[in-house]
Amino acid sequence: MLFLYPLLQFGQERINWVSFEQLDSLLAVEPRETLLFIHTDWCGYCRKMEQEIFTNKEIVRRINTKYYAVSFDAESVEDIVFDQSIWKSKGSKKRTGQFHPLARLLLGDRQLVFPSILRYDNTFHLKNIQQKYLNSKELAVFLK
Amino acid sequence: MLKQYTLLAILLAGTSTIYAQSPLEGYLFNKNQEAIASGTLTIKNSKAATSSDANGYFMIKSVSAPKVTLNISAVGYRSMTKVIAMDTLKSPLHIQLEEDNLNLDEVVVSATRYGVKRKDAPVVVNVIGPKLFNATQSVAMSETLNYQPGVRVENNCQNCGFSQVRLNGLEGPYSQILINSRAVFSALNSVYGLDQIPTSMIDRIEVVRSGGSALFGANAIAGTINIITKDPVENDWQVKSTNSLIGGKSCDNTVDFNTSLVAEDLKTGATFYGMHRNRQAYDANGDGFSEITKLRNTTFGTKVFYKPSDLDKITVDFSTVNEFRRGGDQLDKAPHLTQITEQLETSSIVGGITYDHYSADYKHKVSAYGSVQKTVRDSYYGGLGGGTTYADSTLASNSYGKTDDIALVVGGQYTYNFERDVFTAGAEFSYNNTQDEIPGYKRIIDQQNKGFGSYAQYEWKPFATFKTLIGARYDYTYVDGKYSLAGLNRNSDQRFGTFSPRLTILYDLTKDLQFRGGYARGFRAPQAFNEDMHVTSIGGNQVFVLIGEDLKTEYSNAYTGSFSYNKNFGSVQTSFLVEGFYTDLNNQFVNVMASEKDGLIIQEMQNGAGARVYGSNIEINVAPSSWLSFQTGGTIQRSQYKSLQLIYEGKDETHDVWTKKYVRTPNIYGYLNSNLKASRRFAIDLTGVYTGKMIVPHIQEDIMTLKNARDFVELNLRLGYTIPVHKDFSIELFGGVQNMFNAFQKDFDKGALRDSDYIYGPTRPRTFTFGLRVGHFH
Repeated sequence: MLFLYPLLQFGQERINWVSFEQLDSLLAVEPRETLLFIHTDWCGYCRKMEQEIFTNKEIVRRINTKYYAVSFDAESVEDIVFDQSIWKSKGSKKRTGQFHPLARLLLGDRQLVFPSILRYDNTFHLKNIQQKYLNSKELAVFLK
Repeated sequence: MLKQYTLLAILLAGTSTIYAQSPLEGYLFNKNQEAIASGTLTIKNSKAATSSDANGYFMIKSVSAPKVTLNISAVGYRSMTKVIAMDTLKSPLHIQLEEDNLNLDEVVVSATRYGVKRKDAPVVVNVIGPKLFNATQSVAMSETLNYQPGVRVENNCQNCGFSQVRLNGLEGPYSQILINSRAVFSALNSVYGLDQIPTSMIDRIEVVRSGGSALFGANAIAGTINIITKDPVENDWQVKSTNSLIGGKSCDNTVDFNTSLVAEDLKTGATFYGMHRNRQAYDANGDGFSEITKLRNTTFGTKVFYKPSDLDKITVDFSTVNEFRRGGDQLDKAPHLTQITEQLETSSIVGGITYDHYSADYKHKVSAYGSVQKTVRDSYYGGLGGGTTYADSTLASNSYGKTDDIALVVGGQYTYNFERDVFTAGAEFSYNNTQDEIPGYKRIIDQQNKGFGSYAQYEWKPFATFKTLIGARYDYTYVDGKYSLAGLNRNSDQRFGTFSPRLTILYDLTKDLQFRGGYARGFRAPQAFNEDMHVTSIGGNQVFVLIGEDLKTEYSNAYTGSFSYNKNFGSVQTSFLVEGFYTDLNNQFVNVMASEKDGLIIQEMQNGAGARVYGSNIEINVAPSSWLSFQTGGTIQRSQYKSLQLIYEGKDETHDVWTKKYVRTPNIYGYLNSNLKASRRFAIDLTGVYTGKMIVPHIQEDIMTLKNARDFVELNLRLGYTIPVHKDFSIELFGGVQNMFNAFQKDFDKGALRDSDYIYGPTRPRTFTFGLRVGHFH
């Protein structure tokens, strides 16, 4: 199977995903727009975006130069420090359908569907949201 | 403290346009008097908004109106609205929020798919998915179906391995098997088809017990088994090798693969799957005659889609099956030189096309589909049967047969989504032509079926807690069949229309407790069904099913009612279902066996005087955490003829056999499925099936006796270890033992004169399995 590796490894440029904690300080120091990608383990469309869209050269370049990018597992069981608060997970064990309070808050009244892609301006106000799979063209439009 | 930026993108915008008056301030707290931080407060019809701080304190600086409506929401609490008269406001407000537990029982549906949440479905849908295929180490679909309440798969023949699915105790022909919701299983295919569907092509199997929806065919009296094939999203692939040793001596080796490719823009995609299985025959009692059939099977298929636009989708599927199966004795000799051989070489090709179109607002959906299936079968049902005469030898040489079967389905469906309700209507035409010929027995089945079905259904949701499906279907059936056997000729020439109303309701009694009820009417026209295409051997003679004279159509009325209870206790998720069912059959078809005559045994299909099948299904699911889950369930039922039913005509009246109870139908049966994910890499599955006591007919020397078969507990253990070599490449090693306590029938007949139908209980003895799976999977 080793012969497959070169094939799987191409496209080394990767998105510099940052954590919410890092985002906090980054926004304070140098405000920028933020791209938030909310996903789950079981969401095939999310994995497809991670594997095929967020590895697209043009997309990677645009996101890394213009955005802070956060990839957030909506079912994460970690406590997250963000915006001067601690967002505590509901349970200590990961479970399908047990969403992190921060995911619920970020999506507000909207349905919890995945992937959810949110774009914030440099003061972290929501500019745009898409709650579906975006191919590279659609994501490029979304980021414009 | 003041926020630099609020999370909800709610702005304290536009304050400059409002002339300042009194501030609105207060505290948010819960019932334990603890402060609620990060609650949001907005004033209706204004842009004023704020959020509470760590002490629960909030303040809106300037409120202009004398009376305002304040909306308060906080994560984990129920939202509330409060009307506040500003002039009477003296001190800060104290607002207590109630905790919100509703989100605990949230059911998840994948983002861009239109699945109905299981909890919202008006009929009880049981889903069998890849987890269970793995846990039971199944390579063919027939091996997994046992793990649902009310479902039982049984092997009916030691020679050819004919298996059938019984739903709620009713035989195979009372259920409808669908592939991607289409009825493409013809009468012939359903005989051995269950073994021919590899689990690698299946995304999930949806089992609906009892009728209920008008969308299902008229013969879906006991229920529907809907096989949903994989609809690809990701670029995945896997190859799996499964190797078993049946009863310590017979090998069963399978290699299967599946792969999917989907373009990044989701406009085109394809899945490919294939399986090759080679199973040796198994002889349980050392008499040289097989109890489990030799099987060699190669399946290949593909499903391709293309989306010309976001609103249109064309799907094409294609599959082919080549199967060789043989049972009896001396399996390496030509069939006619053996005592008993049943040998079938089946080659089948299926192709289909579906077109789906959505309107721009996604409210209208139109689908059109067509599917064709062509099967050719070379058969041998016969042998010397213990005889040594010239006539025996001549008959044995003439027992080769040939079957041609073609089935076609075309149809269309329209769906309109109202705000809450859904309307569905459709029409479908089906055609099936079967020709089966065995010259040696002067046996001919020449049958043509045409059916036109139309249906309409309205899903009405007048309240949030109540939902009903009201529907009906009209079927026009045409059967033209000629059946000959050993000089006897029968015809079925039927043309008639039938109206079948269907109704189901779903009522949420409380947040956790739901009631479902349903009524369905169904029918079966007199015709050759799947078991009639299969020939068995008893006492060295062949048994044929022959359709009777002047048969009437069978009608049925089925009623179901169920309560389901879903609740979470802390992190423990539980669900409990208890369901009652009652099916009333009129003119039901019964195969009455006659004693041997001229080396043939004829089973004549006759109308019975009615029967009742009733009982209850129970299902318990407990998931203490995401790494441990238990599912168990069972069925307690009675299947009875309304009056004594003749099932065997002996040489004289004293040898006739009458019964009130259905044969081969246990009153109690159940299953267990438990999965433990010990670590990210290591998984343990323990599964089991209980088959209760039942009566099984047994024929020796032309005398039928009804034997009491014992009960069986079949337990399977599987261990799996996954090695994530790379993020796109994993290896899984698995192994286990099926039927670990070797609960297997002990009293098989021996030799050429055996009753090959005398087989019951678990389908295999203790079997060790190990295998390897490699690929990009999740």
